[in-house]
Amino acid sequence: MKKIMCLSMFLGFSLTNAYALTVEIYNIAGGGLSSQINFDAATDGTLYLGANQYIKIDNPGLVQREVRIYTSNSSWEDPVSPNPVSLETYPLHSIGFASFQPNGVEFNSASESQWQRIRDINETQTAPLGLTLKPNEVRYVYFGTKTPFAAPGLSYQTNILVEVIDGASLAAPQDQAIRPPQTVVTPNGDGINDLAVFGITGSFEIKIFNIKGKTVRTLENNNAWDGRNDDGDLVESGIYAYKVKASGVKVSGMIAVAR
Amino acid sequence: MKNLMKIIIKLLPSFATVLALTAGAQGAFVDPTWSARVAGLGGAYTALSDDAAGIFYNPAGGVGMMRKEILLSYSKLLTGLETVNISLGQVAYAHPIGKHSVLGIGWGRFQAVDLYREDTVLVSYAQSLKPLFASYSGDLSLGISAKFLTRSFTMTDRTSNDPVFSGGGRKSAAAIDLHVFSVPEPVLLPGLSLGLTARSVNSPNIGLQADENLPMEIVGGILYRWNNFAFPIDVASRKGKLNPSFGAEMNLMNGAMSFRMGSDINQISTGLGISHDLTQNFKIAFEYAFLMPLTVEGTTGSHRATFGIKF
Repeated sequence: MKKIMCLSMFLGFSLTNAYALTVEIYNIAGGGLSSQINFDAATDGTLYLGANQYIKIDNPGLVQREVRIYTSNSSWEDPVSPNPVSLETYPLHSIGFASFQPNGVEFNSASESQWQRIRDINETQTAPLGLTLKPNEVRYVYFGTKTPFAAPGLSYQTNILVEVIDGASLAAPQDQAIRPPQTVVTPNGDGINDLAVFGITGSFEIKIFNIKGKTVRTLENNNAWDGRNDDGDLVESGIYAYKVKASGVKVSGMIAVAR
Repeated sequence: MKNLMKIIIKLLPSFATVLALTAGAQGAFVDPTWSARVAGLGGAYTALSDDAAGIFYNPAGGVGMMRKEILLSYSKLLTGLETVNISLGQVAYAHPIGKHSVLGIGWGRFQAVDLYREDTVLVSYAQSLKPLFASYSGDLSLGISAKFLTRSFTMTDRTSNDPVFSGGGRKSAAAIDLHVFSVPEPVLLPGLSLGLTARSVNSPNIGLQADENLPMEIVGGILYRWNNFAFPIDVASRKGKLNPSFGAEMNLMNGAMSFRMGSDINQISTGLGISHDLTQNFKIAFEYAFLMPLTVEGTTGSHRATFGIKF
């Protein structure tokens, strides 16, 4: 069993970037964060994934990102069985990357509801695991088997190289992430639903228009609509439509205004 | 025709001023141009209003109707914009009472799916004053509409925690509209009609939490008929903002086919109508209108269809 390399590379990360993608290693049985890499741009870094540990990948930003995970110097460990586990007992096809939701108490690899196989792995296979993380998405990845006996199952320990493809500038944010969660705006200054906040930054334009197509407000690089028209007056309550326009982005929707 | 040109020339400066003052007022219970015919004329209908759809605009204009009429309309607005799902539905019934009065009953629904809805239930009555002024060669009609308005916001997790919705997401109110229609000079200007409507003269409160009085809206209209053409113009005033609209209608084959175009500055419209007499006392009609906003990218416009029966 190889116990090597912890956080050997930290390339191009910035802890001050609120939209950094983070890759963290946690112990399945608890015990908190084991190691971490922050990415704020297209780059890569390596981590050691021990037995009975899982990877948490957090993409808190507003853009979709692609992540590739390469493995090397892998080995197996079965903490349940006192005897060494042979690959003949647990054929390779039963071993795979898994995406799961940790229950916060104990990871039960035998639970079908927690475990979704991504694909099988093979020591001779060099193709990386590819993941696409939507804006604000968190993915958990476990390397191991879905064993028929008590959890945790056969665990995989390996060095992993995490590569973030094209970082923050990768893909356009998904339409739904751009649309404001406030479908009804109540601009009365009470701090609740006063604004419709669109999930977009950078260079963009938002137009708010009435049902006859008259533009009542144009927002340039301002992602919050306060229920006012271009003259600064509160619009009448009712229904309005919007159109968000940016490079590669055209998103539309409806907003109601109420008082 | 020369008289008409003189009138137009005199009105042009005023019309230019109207355009300059035009604003994008659009709030609750604003006329969405319910029927296909109204939409095809850009919403300019106050001085025309000669069918069942007119009970929502100027029922006094329908006093001359000879037969009962039902119109069913459906519309999709701003199609082609993803997740924008806005529709209109309307039922309008006009019931002539004698030669000098007409009763109207109607219902209209404006709906933004999963978000918002407005319902308008309307009862109207209009009466010609011609019998009172036998020496007057023109015609003058008055009308009144009582509207029961209901607006509903779809409640979500966000709205349920908002004090604005502490009393729920629904509000109802009653509004009164007043109408005037006139053919002022049937001898010298036989094609000229004038209309005036004051909507929501009682300014009912439609706010959920705060007081939000529905503003009174004044709409003045002028129509000139020339041969088989009709040219209506409306100017609406709501909260001090002016909204003009104008259209043109050409009737062919004794009115069996009509072509229309119009604009309310924000969008241009075009439409057609076909009618057919199934029997001497039973006529069916189909109307369609297409409206294209001038400044909204990505939309395939708004579409309205109306089916009507006269009997």
